[in-house]
Amino acid sequence: MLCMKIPVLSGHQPALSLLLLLLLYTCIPAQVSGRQLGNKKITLKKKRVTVGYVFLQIEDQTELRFSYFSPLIDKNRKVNVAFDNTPLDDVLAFLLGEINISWTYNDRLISLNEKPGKPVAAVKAPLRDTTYVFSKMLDEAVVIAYGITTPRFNTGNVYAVKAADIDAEPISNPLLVLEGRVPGMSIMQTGGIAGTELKIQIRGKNSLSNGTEPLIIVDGIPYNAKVNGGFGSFIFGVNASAVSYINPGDIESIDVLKDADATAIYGSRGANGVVLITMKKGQKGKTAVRANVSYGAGTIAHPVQLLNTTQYLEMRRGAFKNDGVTPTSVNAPDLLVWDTSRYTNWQKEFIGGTSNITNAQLSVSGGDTIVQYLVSGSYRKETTVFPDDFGSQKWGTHFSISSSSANQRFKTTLTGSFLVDRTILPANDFINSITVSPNAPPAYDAAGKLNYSWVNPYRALLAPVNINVKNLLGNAGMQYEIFPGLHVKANLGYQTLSGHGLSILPIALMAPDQRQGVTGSSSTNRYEATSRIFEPQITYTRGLWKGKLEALIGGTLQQYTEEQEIIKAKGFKDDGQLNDLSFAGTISGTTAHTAYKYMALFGRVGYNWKEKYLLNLSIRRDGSSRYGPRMQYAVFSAIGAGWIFTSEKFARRLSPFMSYGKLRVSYGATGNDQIGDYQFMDRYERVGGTYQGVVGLQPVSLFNADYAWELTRKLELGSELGFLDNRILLSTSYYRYRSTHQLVEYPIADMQGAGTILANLPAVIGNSGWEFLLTMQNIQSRHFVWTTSFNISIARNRLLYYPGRNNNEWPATLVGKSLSEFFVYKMADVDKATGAYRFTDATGNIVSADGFVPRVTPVDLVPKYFGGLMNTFRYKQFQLEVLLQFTRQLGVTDAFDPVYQPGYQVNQYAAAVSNPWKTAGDVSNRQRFTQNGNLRKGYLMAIESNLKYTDASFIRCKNLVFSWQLPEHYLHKIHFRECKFSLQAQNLFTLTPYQGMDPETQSRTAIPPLRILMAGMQLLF
Amino acid sequence: MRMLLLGMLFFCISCNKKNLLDVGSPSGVIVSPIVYKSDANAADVLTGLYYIMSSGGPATGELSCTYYGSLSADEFTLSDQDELAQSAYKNALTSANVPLWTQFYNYIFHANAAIEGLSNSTALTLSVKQQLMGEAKFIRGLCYFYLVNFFGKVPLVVSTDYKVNKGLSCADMDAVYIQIATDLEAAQTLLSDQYLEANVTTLTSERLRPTRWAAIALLARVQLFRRNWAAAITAAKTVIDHTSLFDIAPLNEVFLKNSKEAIWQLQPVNGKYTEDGQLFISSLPVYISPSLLQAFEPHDLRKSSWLKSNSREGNPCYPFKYKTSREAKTITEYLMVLRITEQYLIRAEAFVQLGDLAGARADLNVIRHRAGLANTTASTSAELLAAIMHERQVEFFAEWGHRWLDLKRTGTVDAVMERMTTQKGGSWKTYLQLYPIPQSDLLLNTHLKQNVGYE
Repeated sequence: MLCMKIPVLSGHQPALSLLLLLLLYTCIPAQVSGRQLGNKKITLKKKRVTVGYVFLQIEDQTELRFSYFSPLIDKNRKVNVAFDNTPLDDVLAFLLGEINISWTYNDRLISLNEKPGKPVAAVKAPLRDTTYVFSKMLDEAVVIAYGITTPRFNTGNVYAVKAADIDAEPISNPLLVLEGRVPGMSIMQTGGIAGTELKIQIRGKNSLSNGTEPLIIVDGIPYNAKVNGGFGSFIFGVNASAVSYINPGDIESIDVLKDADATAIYGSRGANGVVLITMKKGQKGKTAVRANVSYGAGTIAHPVQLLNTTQYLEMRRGAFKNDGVTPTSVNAPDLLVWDTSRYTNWQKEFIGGTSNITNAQLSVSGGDTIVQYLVSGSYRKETTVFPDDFGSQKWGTHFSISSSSANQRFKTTLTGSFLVDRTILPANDFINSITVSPNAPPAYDAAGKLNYSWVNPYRALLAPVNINVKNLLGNAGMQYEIFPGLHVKANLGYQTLSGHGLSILPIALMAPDQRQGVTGSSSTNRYEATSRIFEPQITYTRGLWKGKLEALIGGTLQQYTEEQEIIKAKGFKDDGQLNDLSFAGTISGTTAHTAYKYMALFGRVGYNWKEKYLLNLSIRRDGSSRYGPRMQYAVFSAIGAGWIFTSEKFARRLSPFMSYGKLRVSYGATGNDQIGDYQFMDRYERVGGTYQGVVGLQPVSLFNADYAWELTRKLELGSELGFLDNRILLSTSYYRYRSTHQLVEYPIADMQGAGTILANLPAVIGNSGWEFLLTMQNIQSRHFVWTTSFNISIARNRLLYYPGRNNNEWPATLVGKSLSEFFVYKMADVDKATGAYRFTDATGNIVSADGFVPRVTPVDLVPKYFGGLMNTFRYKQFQLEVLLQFTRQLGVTDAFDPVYQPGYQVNQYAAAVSNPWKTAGDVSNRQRFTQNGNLRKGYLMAIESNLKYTDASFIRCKNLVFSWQLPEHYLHKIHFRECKFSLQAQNLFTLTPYQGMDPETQSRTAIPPLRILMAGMQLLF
Repeated sequence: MRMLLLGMLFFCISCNKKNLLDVGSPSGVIVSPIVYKSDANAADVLTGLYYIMSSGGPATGELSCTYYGSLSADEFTLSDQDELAQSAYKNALTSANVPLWTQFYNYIFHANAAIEGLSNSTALTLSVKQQLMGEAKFIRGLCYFYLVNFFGKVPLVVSTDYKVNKGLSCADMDAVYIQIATDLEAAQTLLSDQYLEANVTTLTSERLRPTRWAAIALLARVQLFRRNWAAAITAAKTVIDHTSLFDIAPLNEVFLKNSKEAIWQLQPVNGKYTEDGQLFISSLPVYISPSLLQAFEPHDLRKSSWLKSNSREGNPCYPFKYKTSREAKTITEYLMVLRITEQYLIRAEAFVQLGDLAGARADLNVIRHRAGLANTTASTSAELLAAIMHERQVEFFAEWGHRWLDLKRTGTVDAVMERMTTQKGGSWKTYLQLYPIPQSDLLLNTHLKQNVGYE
């Protein structure tokens, strides 16, 4: 038995660990036997009570929660009950049997569903003397830190996205489902290729110079969202998204925790919000085999307009004329050597392809009262819009087994996921090649061989990047009930993501006649991140003074290591041997290792008095290896309180108009520990040369024993109001965050010897904002259901205080302004005489680019507001779900080439060359065409001026699903429980004043999110 | 159940362990625990410091004590228009722009980091640790010697704890000198009496690392400045008597690498020439001032050996102690930091002060003879002192600010500079003998106090 904790914590081999986890699991059921949740005993004797009241009593006595679609149940139906140690199953049968509702147990939930074959039970007119009206939005479980709750009784701010929402979107990265749905959470895709990084921020920027990404926790395991180094792929860039190696189909729910009440229990890691991903678990019931298959295609929705050959040649000739230079075959092969009548739509060639997406998943779940299981396998293939066969393939498995002992007191859950990804990408994003001259020679000659006579972008096909990734997640949970209400638990989690990317530079990149003496080279980028966590907990629940007390105390031990290794090999004589290092001439490499350790004690006490007054206190004491020795431990705490005023007697007058009303407030402190590892240590660097034949060392930073977390104090005021039997629910939040202890490199006196120190400054950043979430059941009839959900977030960010005297230096210049504000040049006009850009200086004078030009125009790219609108229509067997996402923001135009001025031998976006200066006297806002560097300084300033910043607001049809479900009677004939056909569309259309490819990515170097059309089928039998 | 309890127990036990949050050291970056774990890395810290000193700064080149000391005194005529050089030359430095301070304190930080790292390390070979500790303390003493002489009262930074240093005020000159003496005395016992390679283990003939002799030589100077005549004599004598290593070298060989004259030299690192050679010969911002030129006695060989005249109008001379200023095949010259001649002149001066005029004369004549001059004619104490000061002027010109420091310590600075500053285009005030403390530091550390006259 002792073997249990060691292998999981110390296993380096993912496969081995998984095996050990399995072994560990198999030894547990031996001592588990007997009964189930359904055997929990209920005692309740009362006449004329509502079903809702009985449900509450059941919840109290079993510590389970009900979860169901509200129209299913008339909570206000009056019943007479006389249970005396009656098994729960019998109680439920009594309550639900006659209205044809079935139930299953799922973790701590009692899920209610209508039995197949009968219409939805009609909702009866509610009686007004009841406690409350149930609602899906209010009473469906949401996952919070170390537990679950319902929005009805939650004192914090949590938003839950369920598996059904995730299934509705044809996404490869599960976090993308949050886009447009979660108030206060902004997600930006950096590219349209599977695996590219997402920029996520919840409620604004809390840090001047450190990370502001939320903490992501998958089944209790803190999950590093970024693959540092992006496996060496140019397309992934600095980071790849590690979350894209979790199969969305295996996720039960994603919960976003925002305010202090919800996040303070995560202590020094909770400041930027927390995203809890819960993987699917097995459910009791008849064995369910579920198959999902979908197939689709993605394309670039909005190609840009480029010059055609005629326009291009006009530009080129104009450039030579303007510069007074005669074109020659050397400086203008496109004019003098190449066929000037050729036209190739390179955009179509390079990124005009179709990304084929195949998604398949098969899962089996079921179980009896002792053991519940889920086994699932998935496959996803997603190609790119590039030429040739690039893309990624993912094979995933997922399982979960839960069991309980005979007396219900000992419970175990084992969950594991393993995903293998194989991605092949070109060396470069082909979007960078769409600007080759439109009259460039053909890419392949008549014999089908690559044309080396020009800088042919197709050569990138010869140098693919091969990436192989494995992601393993394992989690074992055990729980023992010492006496009713008191549970001891332990969770063990292990996650490792490892992968390597092989980039090559083959000899074949050179023209055949230039290969003499040329050798190939390769670069291998290995990455492995491993997280281990152990969390023992004790929970205690009991009734107390007509209320309910819930207490939790626990601890965390976590270890995270990251290894990176880059091996560069040169001197390969044969392209066929590039993946075998033994053929390399020279090999060099670097390794990087970082480790992080974390431990904590945490606790929470919640008290719910008569379902009127709610109080929640949470606290965490944190220790982290990232902090300096004098500050290694920190305490964070929060208080949350709620008042369900509709439970008060006076509120009865509000009914039937107002059916639910809660006011809540929370305040507390959280930390940001995204401050880098080892940063408090004094570091040394090698000096620039030798002395006595040796390269010496130099201390470059001061030791800082007080190096510590950044602190965010969060205040939130919120209300949840339900109207008309909770058909309309309005959730309003106002938050006010104050972030301080900012880690900034700030100057110290020269006498200290080191110039600057990275230390916690009492600078104050303020983030505040409003969030609204409105859910409406517009129409609710037997055949037609229409629901609407709307959310909008308005945020404001300010640097409130910055210590120090010098107010002219960043970031002190930002005091009173948004942290993300910066200054750009102000383009005045194009000089009528010369055709060069001119700028406006601080005093409003127009100056040429030659002298000093100040940056005078402030720019802030943070969205002013954003949100989403979701409408769901169901008519008989048809369902239509439309999610619109909107953002109001200033953005960066992708029109201007960052290197080549219009007139050089590259094509230009039409927007960059509209109406340029041609002859003296022309009034224009585009400089003259040129093919040399004379105007370079002005051009580079112009593309860093107001010219570059444009309205990038948009309304996007983020997701659309149209589905048809096979009617019951057909299902019976073919022995299926469910059969659904669906059409999905992602990014179907985008309404925007933005001129370029995509207002979200705003990039001319990365493929935008694709427009994806999918057809799919879901079967359950 | 048992497993759970065991697990909890395991957790509780492990929570009490202190090293639970210890993650060791990262790779890719070098942090102090790694550095002071091996002899080689620890030695590299001091080697790195010599590299930095030799690449330009207070020790050599256009930001050096040599350059600014000479500019401030009466040795040069400045032709360069550099603003900082001009203000030093006209004795009109302002706190907005101050030479030497920043880099000296950077060297002190480097030395302090080494001292702390070495002290905390248990992994090093004892002899290595001692030598390195001695080197670091020697450098710290050297830096404070120049800081106290250029700036007067300075903050005494002896640790790297920025929170402690943040609150430091200027220490009395006595306190600074006590620290210097303490460091040098410690260095004297810690340092090897042989020259060592970069590994501080292997012996070498390259005089590129401080030895016990360097510490004693600097201590002799400190004792002289502190008017501890007997101690100065003892120290200087110790070095002078170590004739197996040190001797007076012919004029043209004094500044060659590893000359017998050298007690400690810095190896050029930017090229195969010293930064001083590059400055005075190639950049040519200064000429020897008329007053210094006149100070040379007729037939003083140093005039022809250590000065070179230019083809410009009036054939002005420039310092030519170092002869190499551009790339060569091999390095022929090292930058002189401490040399034996100074020890003779220190002892001579101290002898006079203690009444041993014969001893003084003998030491002085050793230096005069090398320059091709006859025995000194000075007979009284006062005459001898004047002769020694004169000898120092023509011997140590354009070298480490000797002249500037001598003028100040002998109290002749006002008399000399009243005249000279006017000639240089400025106007002399007594307070100008100290450089101002940089304004930026006064702002960032309010405990510091500006030198009188600059407020």
